[in-house]
Amino acid sequence: MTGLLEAGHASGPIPMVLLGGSMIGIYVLIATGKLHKLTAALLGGIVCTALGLVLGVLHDYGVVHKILAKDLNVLGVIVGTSILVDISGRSGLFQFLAIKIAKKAKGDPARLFTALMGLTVLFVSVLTIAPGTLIVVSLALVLARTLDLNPAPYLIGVAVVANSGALVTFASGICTLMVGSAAGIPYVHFLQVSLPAALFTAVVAWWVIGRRYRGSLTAGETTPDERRTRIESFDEYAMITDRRVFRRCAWILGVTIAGFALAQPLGVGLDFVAIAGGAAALFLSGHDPEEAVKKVNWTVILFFVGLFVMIGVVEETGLLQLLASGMASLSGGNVQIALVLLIVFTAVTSGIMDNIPVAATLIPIVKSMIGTGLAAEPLWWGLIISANLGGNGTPIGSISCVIALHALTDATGRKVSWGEYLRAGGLTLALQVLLVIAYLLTMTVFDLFPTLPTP
Amino acid sequence: MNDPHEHELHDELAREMAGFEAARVTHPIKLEPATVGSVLAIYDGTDQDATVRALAAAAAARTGAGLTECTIDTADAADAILEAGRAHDLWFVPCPYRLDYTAIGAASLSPTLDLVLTRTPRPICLVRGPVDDPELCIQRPMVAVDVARHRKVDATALALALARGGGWLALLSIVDPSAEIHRAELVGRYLDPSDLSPESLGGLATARTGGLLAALQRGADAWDVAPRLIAQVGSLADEILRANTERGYLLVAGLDRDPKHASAQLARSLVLGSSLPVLLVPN
Repeated sequence: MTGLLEAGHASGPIPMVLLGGSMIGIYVLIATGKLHKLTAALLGGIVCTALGLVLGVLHDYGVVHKILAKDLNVLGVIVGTSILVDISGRSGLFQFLAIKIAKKAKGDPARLFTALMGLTVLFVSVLTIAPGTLIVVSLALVLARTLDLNPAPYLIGVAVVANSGALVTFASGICTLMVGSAAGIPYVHFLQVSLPAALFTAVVAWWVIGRRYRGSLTAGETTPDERRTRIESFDEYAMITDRRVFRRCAWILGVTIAGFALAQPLGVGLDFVAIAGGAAALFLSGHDPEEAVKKVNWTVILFFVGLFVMIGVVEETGLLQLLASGMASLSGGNVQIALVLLIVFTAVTSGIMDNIPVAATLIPIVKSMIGTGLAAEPLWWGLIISANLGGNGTPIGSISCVIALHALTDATGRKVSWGEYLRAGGLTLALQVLLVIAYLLTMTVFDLFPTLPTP
Repeated sequence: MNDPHEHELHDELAREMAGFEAARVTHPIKLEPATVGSVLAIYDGTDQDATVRALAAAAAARTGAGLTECTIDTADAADAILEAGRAHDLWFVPCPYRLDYTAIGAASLSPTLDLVLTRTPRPICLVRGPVDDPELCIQRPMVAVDVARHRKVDATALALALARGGGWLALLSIVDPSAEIHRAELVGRYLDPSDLSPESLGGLATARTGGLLAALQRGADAWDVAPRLIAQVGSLADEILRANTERGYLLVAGLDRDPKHASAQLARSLVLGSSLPVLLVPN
């Protein structure tokens, strides 16, 4: 440990304690909701920068810009995809597909549950978690009212399975994007490693929640014929608000996804592809750019700025390397033990607080663990999968849960208690974590991970 | 990555759910392009005649109809117009009739057209100021579905006859917050009657047009037309005129012939406020 301190850019115990304490204090404020996460992160960035300069951790202010520059690609992807997703959403493209797929269930409550789960994974994988969840939750509520069904199982199912959808591709979730960028994982590796994990964890969620609510996945007094007639009354063509934009968005989305896959061979970043997709959508849709840009979530972007600066300054103290060294020691240098520890720790903390700061803090720690000689692939994949799924643990653990449970209360007045949620989401997470550990250990033991390119 | 802010979540949900409510089409609409066998261009000897001729010719070309032209310059022009138009499916007339558009165009439709609009049995296009590109104007109509709402299907069918074969067709649906919105309508569409936010009312505007939009989009490929819905919240006349000025093409609306009817007065005020041609489809 001393060696690490000497070899690294560590600055002594006082800066570590002060800056590490500030970071933990900020995380407590975020987790307890005492302060809005944006305010907390910006405050953290400011305090850590000032302390870093005063304590000599930062040699000059230019280091802050270097810290931010490392994550510019993440911010670029968020801006580009936000614009593209907003314009696509307004064209009715996804709403059209949603009704078309839901009608396949022919009004049968159990089949509808399965259809909505599948739809959630598909939409989140393309649109990311918040807009994907919003569309499916809205459809589920309207369908439940039309078919006289209890909406709770559908909404809880959507909330939980959405976190599996965030694992499908590089750009499906913010945590996935952050970790994937930091690790330099090629897009196609996601199809080989995290896509299977997305599918089997989604099946686990479908099975657990389906069983938990099987008594509610039945129709009231309506007959199958009545339900079939009612769901057939939905006309998906009414969702296409602008046919030209609808078609163009379908093309742009397809090309953007292909661009993500080809970004590395083409020698460009994902941010370039995302911004190009957003710009193409603006250009070809004729939508007001001011309106589209308003839909970019500047709260998340500024949250990132504060967070990245705070973590970057703390990293400069050498504290995170120390923690990494501690974790590596705890695992005895065994990557399998380190993997299990990392998955459990990440899943639990991601359930308690926003998974973005958890992933952002763990990225430099995992980098340092890899620096001690542990294999990179299992740890990176373990972090990606557990950070995303960890949100299933509590009703406030992920944005999909917040959206779905808020919608349920808003539309029906029904509140899902922590106890009820934990019996569904918590149990799902426990099973998912066990299976993910088994999956990643198998991949590790049999050396099945695609090798990461050397940086 | 549009992680919605919590205070915006309610509005986002209301908008999405209203969209899906629009798809719950309880009364499917059968829509076909209107049949236009002959187009009549009526001239009054003013400098608007050239625009009338260009627009009528464009409409005839797009619908495959024959074009008949006549000049009516008599004292009882209203009767003569009604008589001349008897055998034709679509009329184009200068508005105001036999009067200087630039001088009183925004103040009066002219006594002749006031009378014609109360008796016309056929769709009538009131031609206003000069039009830059008559072909584009005709092939990109916008239907204001809230003007004489019971005529919206016929108005759309006629607009479709003009737009098909490569044109654009916009449906403009507006909810006016100052007008009475029936609680039953909101409840029937599962909208919260206590929530009259712009998002919720925008959703109502979308939902009201669901059946018509679905019928248009379903046949769009066969008709080779690009339909679009514009849903707005605001004053009916103001929003229609604003949307039409922004687009710059033909405005289509239903017409109640009874001049005392509110929708008839609205149609007249739209014509007076527009420098673009307005096609009125009577009951």
